[in-house]
Amino acid sequence: MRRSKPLYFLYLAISFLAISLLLFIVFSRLIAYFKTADQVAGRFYALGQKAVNYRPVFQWDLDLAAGRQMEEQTLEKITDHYLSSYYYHNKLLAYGNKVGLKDHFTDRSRAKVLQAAADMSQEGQKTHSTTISHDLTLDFYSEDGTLVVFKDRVTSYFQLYQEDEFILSDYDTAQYDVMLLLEDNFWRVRHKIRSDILVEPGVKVKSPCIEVRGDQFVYDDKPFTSKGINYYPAKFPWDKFWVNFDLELLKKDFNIIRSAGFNTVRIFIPYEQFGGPDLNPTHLDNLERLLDTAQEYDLKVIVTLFDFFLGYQTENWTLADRHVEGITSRFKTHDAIFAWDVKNEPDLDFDTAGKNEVKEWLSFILKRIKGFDPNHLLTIGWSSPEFITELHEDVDYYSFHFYRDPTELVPYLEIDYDKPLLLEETGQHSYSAWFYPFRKTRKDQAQYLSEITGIIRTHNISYALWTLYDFKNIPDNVVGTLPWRKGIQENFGLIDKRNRRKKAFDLVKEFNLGYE
Amino acid sequence: MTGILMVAFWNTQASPRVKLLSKDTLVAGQVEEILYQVDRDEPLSLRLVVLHNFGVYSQKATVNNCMVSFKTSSVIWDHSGRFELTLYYQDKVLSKNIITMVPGTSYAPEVEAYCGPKQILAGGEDFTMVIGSSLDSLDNPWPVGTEITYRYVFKSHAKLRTAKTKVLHSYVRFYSDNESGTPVISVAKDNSSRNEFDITIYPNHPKSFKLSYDRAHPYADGKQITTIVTNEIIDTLGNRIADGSMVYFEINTSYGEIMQAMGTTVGGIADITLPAPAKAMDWSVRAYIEDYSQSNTISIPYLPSVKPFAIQWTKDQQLIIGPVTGFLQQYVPNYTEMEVMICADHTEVTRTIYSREGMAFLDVGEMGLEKGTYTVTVGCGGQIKGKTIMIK
Repeated sequence: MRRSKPLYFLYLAISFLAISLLLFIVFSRLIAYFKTADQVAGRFYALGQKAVNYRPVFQWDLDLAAGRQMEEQTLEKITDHYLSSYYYHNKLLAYGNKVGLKDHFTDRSRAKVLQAAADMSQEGQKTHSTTISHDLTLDFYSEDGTLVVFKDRVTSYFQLYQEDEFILSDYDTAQYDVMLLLEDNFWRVRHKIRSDILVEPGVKVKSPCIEVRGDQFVYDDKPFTSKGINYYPAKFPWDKFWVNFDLELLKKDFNIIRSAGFNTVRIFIPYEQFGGPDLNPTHLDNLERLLDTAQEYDLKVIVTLFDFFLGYQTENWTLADRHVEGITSRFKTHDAIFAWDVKNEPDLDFDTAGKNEVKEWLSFILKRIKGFDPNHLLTIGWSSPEFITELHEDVDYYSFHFYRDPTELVPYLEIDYDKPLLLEETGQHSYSAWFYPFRKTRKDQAQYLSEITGIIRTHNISYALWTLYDFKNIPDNVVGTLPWRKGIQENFGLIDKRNRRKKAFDLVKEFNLGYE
Repeated sequence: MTGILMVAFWNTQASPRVKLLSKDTLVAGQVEEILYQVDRDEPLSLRLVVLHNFGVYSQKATVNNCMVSFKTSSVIWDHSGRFELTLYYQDKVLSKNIITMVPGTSYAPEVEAYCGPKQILAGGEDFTMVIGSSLDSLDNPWPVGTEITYRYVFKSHAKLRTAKTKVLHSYVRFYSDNESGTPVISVAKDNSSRNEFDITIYPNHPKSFKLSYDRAHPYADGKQITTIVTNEIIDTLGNRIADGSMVYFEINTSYGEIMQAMGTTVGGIADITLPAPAKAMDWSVRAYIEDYSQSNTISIPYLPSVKPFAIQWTKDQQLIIGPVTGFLQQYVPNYTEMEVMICADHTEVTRTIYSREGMAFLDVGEMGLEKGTYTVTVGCGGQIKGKTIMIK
């Protein structure tokens, strides 16, 4: 009994602490729950939802219009209502959702639209579709301002499904003759008739940029080999880069990169941070400063678009289209750009977003960039060499990432490719921690890079290493929160956290200076 | 599908060859089947994908006797326009064709027409626009170049116009006549179907006009009605201006007051009715139609409504006023207001008294005024009389 007394005391003390802790957690959660503002906005039907999800590019030609002089405000309203009719019609074809049709089609044309959709649905068919661009030519505007007739050359894309099984997808360029009537303050579609198409190829302006001849890059009529490095500043990796943009720091880093014998840097444009379809002008200006600085230091830049992007659904394509239009058309003649890498490691999204969806989106966006910027090269930064030649028709050169054993790289390089190859990311970390069994040293890192550069030299390919710096703070959305995963990602640099050059730095510098 | 397409073009060797037997121009709503000839007599399942006005439509059918026939039960075959047909065998494209669906023109069309603006001004500068198109029984517009007839009928004359349709529409302008009224416009195709519109030609801008007035007597009795009326207002083309046009009247009194009243025209004439003022004054009246025209200015004098009356000063220090008679020799009504002002060098007292049987009294002695000489002024209905009194 005497012995058990301290035991009882201990038991009571532990129970008391456990119950207190439990109560503390429960109450804190409850307080947090009641204090957190409700997400009220999400419960309402979003006004102007179409503007959020659907923004095809359009342009009007008013020169040959007969009738009343078109007013700017009316044209804006006509455009808005007419494009909305596509948004709601596409919703009908995809989900059988009839919302919005009454506002955008007159009774007679709505009957046609609904019957055609019902016939499709009867066959078990549906389409996911979006229009990409509208070239509109106004033919006629009535004197009382209630009727317009115009031609619309539409480029659209659709995916056809039967019984929820994907059948096929295609682009469609068609011209429609359209009559709209103003009823109850809505411009409604009265007639929409597919007519003979007139497709005019876009005008391309050529500027001195890197080109592809056979399996080689050519710049200024001379073969060009990219000796590149993936770049974030040491203190501001990933999403911290653009919000902490510092030109002086950039110049310092570019100086180091150039002095280490590199001629290319690869950077990333985070989709959401750059404003999605509504591009952030400050970030765009900073991108221009970065490109100008690269030019100053005689560096070429691989601009990786759509970082942390997941909007692969057809309905959202136009948003990505606005994003890419804003960036690529602005810099289409910038000499510092080596290429647009349309997406970093999209193959990692195959499982979550669907391989078909991702590939269709990539193909679409590559075609669109080619239209906005015909001058620069295009590629996709596949995470794995297995996907090198996916969508080979749409890219100008093949890019892939490689972090496996160097000997496994050789078979992929021995294949005879029809386009140049760029090993866009490779490297080895030098992370070691007592709890991490697969630790690597700086020596291991140098060894790995020595082997990789040897293979690069043998097969004479372009490359870009991962990365210049060891990072101090890696955001959670990059590799998660586990300490060893973050630890690995933090230690891939050629320069360590105390700004000392690792052994790998000198090795790579030596390689670069002797590699052409 | 770009990938699928590419593969398909390279593998045509292994694919059946097909030929579209249906004509490349068909009449909407009269298509029985879409027929392809196939170079194999195997039960191959082929898929037809049709791009039409309102989306994509796909059908499957099996080859039978070297033929494959696709049913055209869907409503899409009732629409006119350019149809793009792609025939697939598995993932391979066998043929791509274009069929133009034309509207059925063997029957008289339905005419669809729109007209506006419906209200225009006379004078030939303003116009209404009439838009017409003809449709077949399945709501498909007839082809470009269809002639539409527009007829404008007004009073004893008519205008006839024809216009050929451009894309989905044709239109004409009918300019207004010099006369106001309600013309009828009809739109027809070969007299088969007719759409009618009434439009209104309103008179153009009004010309200057004149004012007159009417009243029972010229006295400012505060009760009698005065009617101020315009002459018939017409526009520059001689049309009587539209009923309901607003005419604003502005009245300036000889006391510097400004009054405003508004009347609307009926039969080109606007009027206002106003009670006469309670005291004698002159009115100067002018009328105008905003932004367009105005009248001459007329003057309306109002005479005092009572005749000169007597004031007596009695020994017991009372003022007896009256008898006060009106313009018809009658006593002024009971409770007619009178203003009495009693003034000396440094004193001024005002009283309001009311008449009874034409007379009014004021007991000055009870007012407690100092002794002396005072001037008394009495005003009633614009008539003013004075008297000097001595308070003892």
